[in-house]
Amino acid sequence: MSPLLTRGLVQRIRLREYRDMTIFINGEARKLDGVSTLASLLDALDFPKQRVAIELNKQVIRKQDWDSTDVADNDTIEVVHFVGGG
Amino acid sequence: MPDKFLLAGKEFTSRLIIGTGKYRSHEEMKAAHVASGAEMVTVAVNRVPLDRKTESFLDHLNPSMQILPNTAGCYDADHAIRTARLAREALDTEWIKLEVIGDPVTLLPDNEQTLEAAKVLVAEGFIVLPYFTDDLIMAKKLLDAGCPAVMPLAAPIGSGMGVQNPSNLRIMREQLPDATIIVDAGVGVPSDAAIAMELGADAILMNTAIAEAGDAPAMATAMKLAVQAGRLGYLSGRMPKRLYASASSPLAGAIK
Repeated sequence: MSPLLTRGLVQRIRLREYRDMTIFINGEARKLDGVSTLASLLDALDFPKQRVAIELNKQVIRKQDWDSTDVADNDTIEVVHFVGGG
Repeated sequence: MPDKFLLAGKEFTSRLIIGTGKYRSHEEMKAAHVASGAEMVTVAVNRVPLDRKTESFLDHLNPSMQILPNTAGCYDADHAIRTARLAREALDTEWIKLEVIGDPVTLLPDNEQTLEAAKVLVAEGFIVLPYFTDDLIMAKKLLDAGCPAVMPLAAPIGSGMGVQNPSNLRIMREQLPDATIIVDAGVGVPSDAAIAMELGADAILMNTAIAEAGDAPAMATAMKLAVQAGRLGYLSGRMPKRLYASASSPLAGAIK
């Protein structure tokens, strides 16, 4: 492999590692760094984890799957809780 | 004689279901909930705010009360279905107050979308309690779809106008004698609640009439008593209405 090609690959990998992901969460676009799974997304946003529910691209993700569900660039996520209502 | 309220296989003592919105403070809400004697309260599903630490609203509810999440704010079946699924996941409850609004000014229900959502949610195992226009035919369709009860409005949400169409409620009661009918929305004062119960409603769901009262806990007590009075009045069987007087005291034997 030529040195030039190797350098290009390394750069691409680095770019991928450090590129912020844009996630549309609760109606807002957010650039997030260091987020891999839904569980880490809740941590990054300092969201509660009890009695909340998550929808990833319009599909509810069960709580037991938050740790194993990856978040990808351009995902649309809704995190809901409960408020007063009639 | 105990007069239990059976709903979807669950037994309630109280026929008053109340909301949790619009209270001036959590303390006032809690006091009103206790005073009302209600055993079930509604809550709304809402986005967790970004950049603001929130406490759990549910912590302010008496743990003995059943929580009934609603789909408020949904304008079509798809959003209501998604909201119901989220509520079920977060609360581990199959119960859902289905509300699909057709218009932001009147908040009147979109019956067509409500029915569509009800069918999907019933098939998914939900206990669907639908808010809808006080219409007999719609009630039949919702019951046929598998809803264990129907929740016709008395008047628009939060209007406090009272039972606007008593004939519709009476017809619904007479034509669907075995159905569970919960009047939802529009009650303003205790007499409105009593009227709805006298017309044969099995229960009443209300929020604003209590939350916006000058003294919410006192109004909650008044509503509890009104629901009880109206229920007892209905069970007792009212006298017939007459156009002309019918003397209560004997006319014969009065001195001349």
